[in-house]
Amino acid sequence: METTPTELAETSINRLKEHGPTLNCVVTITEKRAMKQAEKAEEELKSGKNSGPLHGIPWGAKDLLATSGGIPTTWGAYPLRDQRFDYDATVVKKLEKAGSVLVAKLAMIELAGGMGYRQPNASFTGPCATPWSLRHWSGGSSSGSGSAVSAGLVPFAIGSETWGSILSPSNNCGVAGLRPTYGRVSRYGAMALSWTLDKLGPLCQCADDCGLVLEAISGPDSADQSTYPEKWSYQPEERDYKIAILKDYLEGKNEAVVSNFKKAMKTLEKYCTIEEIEFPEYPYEAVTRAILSGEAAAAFDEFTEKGLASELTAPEDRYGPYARSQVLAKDYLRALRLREKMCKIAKDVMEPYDAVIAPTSGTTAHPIDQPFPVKRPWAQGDIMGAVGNGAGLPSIGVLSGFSDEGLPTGIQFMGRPYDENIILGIAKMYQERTDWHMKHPVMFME
Amino acid sequence: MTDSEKDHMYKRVKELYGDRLTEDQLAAIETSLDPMIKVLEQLRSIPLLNSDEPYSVFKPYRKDRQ
Repeated sequence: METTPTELAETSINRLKEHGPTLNCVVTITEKRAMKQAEKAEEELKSGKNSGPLHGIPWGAKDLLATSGGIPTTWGAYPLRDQRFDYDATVVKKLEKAGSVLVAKLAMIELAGGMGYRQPNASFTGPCATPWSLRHWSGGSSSGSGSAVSAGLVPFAIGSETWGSILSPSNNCGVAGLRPTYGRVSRYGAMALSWTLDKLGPLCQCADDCGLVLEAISGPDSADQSTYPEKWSYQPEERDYKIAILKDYLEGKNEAVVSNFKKAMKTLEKYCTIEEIEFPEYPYEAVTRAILSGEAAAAFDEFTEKGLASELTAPEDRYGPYARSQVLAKDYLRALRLREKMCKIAKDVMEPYDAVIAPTSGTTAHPIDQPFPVKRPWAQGDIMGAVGNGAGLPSIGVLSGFSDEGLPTGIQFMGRPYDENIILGIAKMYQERTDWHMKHPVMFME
Repeated sequence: MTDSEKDHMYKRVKELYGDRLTEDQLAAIETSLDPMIKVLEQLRSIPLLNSDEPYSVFKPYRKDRQ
């Protein structure tokens, strides 16, 4: 079916208007900017200028990416609901250059979860639902990015992950979510939660789309000194792979998660050798947690000192920043010193493998109106997240099936640094052999 | 980490921010120090050498040499 950028933008905007409030996934629809960009893309395509596969394609930004032109950038927080910037984040600029059309700023957990939220209702726009069940949470903190893609309101969205914020909505909303290697994508113009842990990445319908979007947003940026100096291009490798699964990692996980993961392993066995591995004992979670806490305390120091936390939505976020303000500099630096050892352990363990696989999350989506069962701040039990984020490793989560309740489950492929093409290749081949990613929530199909 | 260190941390939070926090919030903060202290204890239990540097790279800035 043929279409045009303006038709696509109009369709996306209409769907955002119609379904956004049901899901609580939208903060601002950027209609004026979108139609201007769409008209420009249309003219360019008519005149033979084609900037690539994203030219004329609508997208949504997690509302922590700075956008110019008077569009609010709220960071999901009530006290910042009128915050505006006079510049665009590098990712926003890069997507504009690729001809994409920004149609919405999408909902997120307030301050990307940096205050230690312990419930889905931790955003001034309300708790965001997964399109698979309005009674269940979309995941977070890139809540709206996962939900809007899953419901087909935008073809792709950009989210951010410090620890779990792309993979969690990928899991709960049943979409592909790619956490790139730290430094692959410029963070300039994105809200900082933790300077050495924050990553920006795409949420899309499938792994292949994630590769296309990553190519557009990656690359060096003089405004962000953490960026890797070389440009990256999407070239997924289709071959036999050697992958690993962590010993005993499935213990204690949700039954549907485990069952679907095992079925996924059967599919993977058709083109992968799978071996069991173990990470040696080491305080991975403590290291990553201490870095996150120390940096978040500093990043939100002004916010905290002004007393703005008292206006946040989740009651626990109103006092969340104070305890961690007491982490000593020497303890933060100790965590950074231990981080190098952690990265070396990860390298040694993962060196013989193309990827480590695991369920994207140990559970299906949490009920939208209930607090999380486990205390999240300083919580233990997520070695994949701790090592993956602490060592800056890329990971992609894709849909692996559904629970009896109809909630999505996910499988993640975590790779060595800068090996996005390998994990995208494995995920793409998995999706070529399954049809989970072709299933969409009926409530939002027309 | 000792109880007195926890007490010290809590007292400091109370001194600095007590005027803007309710009794319930202060109690929650005191409780939240326990898992935080557990994390710090884990970090402090790993021996490090003087030569073990923080894993961060500081590069002196000069516009013509990036």
